[in-house]
Amino acid sequence: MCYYNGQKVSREEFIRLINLEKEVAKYDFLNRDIHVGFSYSMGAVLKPNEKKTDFDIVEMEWGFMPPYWKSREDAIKYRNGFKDPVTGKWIQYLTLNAMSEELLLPRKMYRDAALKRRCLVLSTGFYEWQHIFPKNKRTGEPLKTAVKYPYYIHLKEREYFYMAGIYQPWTDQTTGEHVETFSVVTTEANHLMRQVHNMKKRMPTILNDELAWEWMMGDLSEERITEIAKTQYASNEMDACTVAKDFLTKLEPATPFVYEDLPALELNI
Amino acid sequence: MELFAPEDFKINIQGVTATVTEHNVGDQQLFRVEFEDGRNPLNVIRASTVNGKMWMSMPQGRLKEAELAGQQISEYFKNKK
Repeated sequence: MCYYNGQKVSREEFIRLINLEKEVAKYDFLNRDIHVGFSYSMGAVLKPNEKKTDFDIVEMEWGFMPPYWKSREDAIKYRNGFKDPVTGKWIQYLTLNAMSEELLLPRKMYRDAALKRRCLVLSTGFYEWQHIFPKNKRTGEPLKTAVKYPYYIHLKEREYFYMAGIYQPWTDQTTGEHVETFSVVTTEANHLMRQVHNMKKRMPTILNDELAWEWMMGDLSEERITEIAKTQYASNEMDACTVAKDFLTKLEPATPFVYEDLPALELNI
Repeated sequence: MELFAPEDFKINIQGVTATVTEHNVGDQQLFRVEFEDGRNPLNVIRASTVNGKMWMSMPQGRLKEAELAGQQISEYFKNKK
């Protein structure tokens, strides 16, 4: 018998806990890095030049910051969330993604950018978690906590592709720091993504070359902006494979990994 | 790119609100508890002891807080429809 946290545990359990402790030490939760889903890192983005005759490939910070966030301190506060001292309500703005259905709603943070500053986010693929609820062995009822399986999703015939984005230049009014920030537009999940991202049933708005050009360069009506933003890329042109649960720490995170107990995705519509 | 934020939920521990996110670390389930009162975040896991399953902190050393947070996490899942 060994002790952990003052409680008697078996030797086997002790080894499990110590190994888990080593794994936890590798995680940098406090920096909100990719393990938590939030990296707020730099991404490669295509944005039109001033006259919309050509475009530049630039680096922007992922995580849209509206001009009325005055400082980095403000940004951290809004991103991590805080309790409003007056109303007591929890306030948090998650601006990595912008829902296509809400882009142009009056007074929405993204409206001005969707009308005037549309861009394309370059991607080779993305990761998403599928939630499977195992059945209770005794009752046969599904358990309330899910087992999560990570997937790597990419396009079959494309090495890289474009996601619809919107961007916002931002200046820290206390330090003068200037960055351009962006958000990835999302839409309702297609047949494939409904199975993979089966809790939220959303996916990024992926655009073919023609729509990508129109999104970035076009002088578009509000109806057309919404229409393109809601584009659902065809399932049969996408591929998804499971990857190891510790994919984030791997040198090649997109390497397929088979879970024997996991049913295959239904690929036929 | 990991596009979407992990699911989270709120619990109340002795009057302090905390945000809980679920993670898979080393293929095991772990909950990350971030308190609104500014104290250091706490990781909790379910471990087997001679007295049955218990909530413990990860790394070890914050057992009391882990038990309180764990109770609220269990409660959340019990009440989840």
